[in-house]
Amino acid sequence: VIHLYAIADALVPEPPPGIDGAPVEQLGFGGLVAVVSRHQGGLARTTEMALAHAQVVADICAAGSALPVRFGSGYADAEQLRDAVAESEPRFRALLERVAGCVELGLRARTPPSASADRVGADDGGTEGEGAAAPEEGSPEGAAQGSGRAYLERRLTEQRAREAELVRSRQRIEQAAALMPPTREAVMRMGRQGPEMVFLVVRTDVDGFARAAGQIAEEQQLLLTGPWPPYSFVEDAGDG
Amino acid sequence: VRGDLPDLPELTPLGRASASSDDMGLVDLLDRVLDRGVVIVGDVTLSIADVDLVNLSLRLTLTSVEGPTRRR
Repeated sequence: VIHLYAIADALVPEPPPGIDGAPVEQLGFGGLVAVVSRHQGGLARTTEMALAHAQVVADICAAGSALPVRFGSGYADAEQLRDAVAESEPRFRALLERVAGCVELGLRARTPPSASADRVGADDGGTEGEGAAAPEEGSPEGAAQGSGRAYLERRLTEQRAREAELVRSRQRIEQAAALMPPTREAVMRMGRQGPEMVFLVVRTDVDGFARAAGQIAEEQQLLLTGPWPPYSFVEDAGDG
Repeated sequence: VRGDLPDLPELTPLGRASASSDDMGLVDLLDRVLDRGVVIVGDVTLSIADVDLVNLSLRLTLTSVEGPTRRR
């Protein structure tokens, strides 16, 4: 199976070794280059493999301008990969232009908002009494009905708390980001750690931006992460 | 984990977890490599279910996984 790391518009000089030390190959398709390695029977879908993929992608993106590919793209043969790349070529070209010479940094809450909102919900003890009063021994259906309403109310309370928390978190991040130096692009998105503002920053500006933005993030009790390959700026249709 | 958070995360070269980085950097990295990045529509591309599998194992192994750099 051919495992895909990145799409570039030129050969990447001195590509790093691939996952498990497999040699990295650069397959030219039209004007695009697919950076790949070959593996017997595909790669295991584990965290370790995802991290190994990320490492190779990071090295490729450090060596040249390339689009980081999400973990998990495998192709039976070069022909299949070529067809897939050809189909998306206009999109890739637009994206390569968008992120050329750039990395991304992220700004998010230190604690994922959903986690704290969950705690708020869990601390809300008012609904538990109702649920506890209902159970009839040996009658799971009755217990379920009795606690069903309380359960749903609790879930609703939790969900509202979570939404409010997300809105607050997003606002805090936006306010902090407004104080930061301008970047080529800044986009708010939802990540696993809650709302996150991602900044597309020209490589040569990264140090300056990180210093200024890092200070603001610290003052606002937020977390600035990166620099990363521009993963967050290569997933849309690149209509810009 | 929260208590160990540094005031300012170490800026690391292009998405690598640094030697001193904690699980937080790892989560951000996995967030990117699993949920973002170029997706090419192809028959062999992992299905959503497969990616969920990765997420599942992520939760189980997150505390024990070492940053990629440390393995070098």
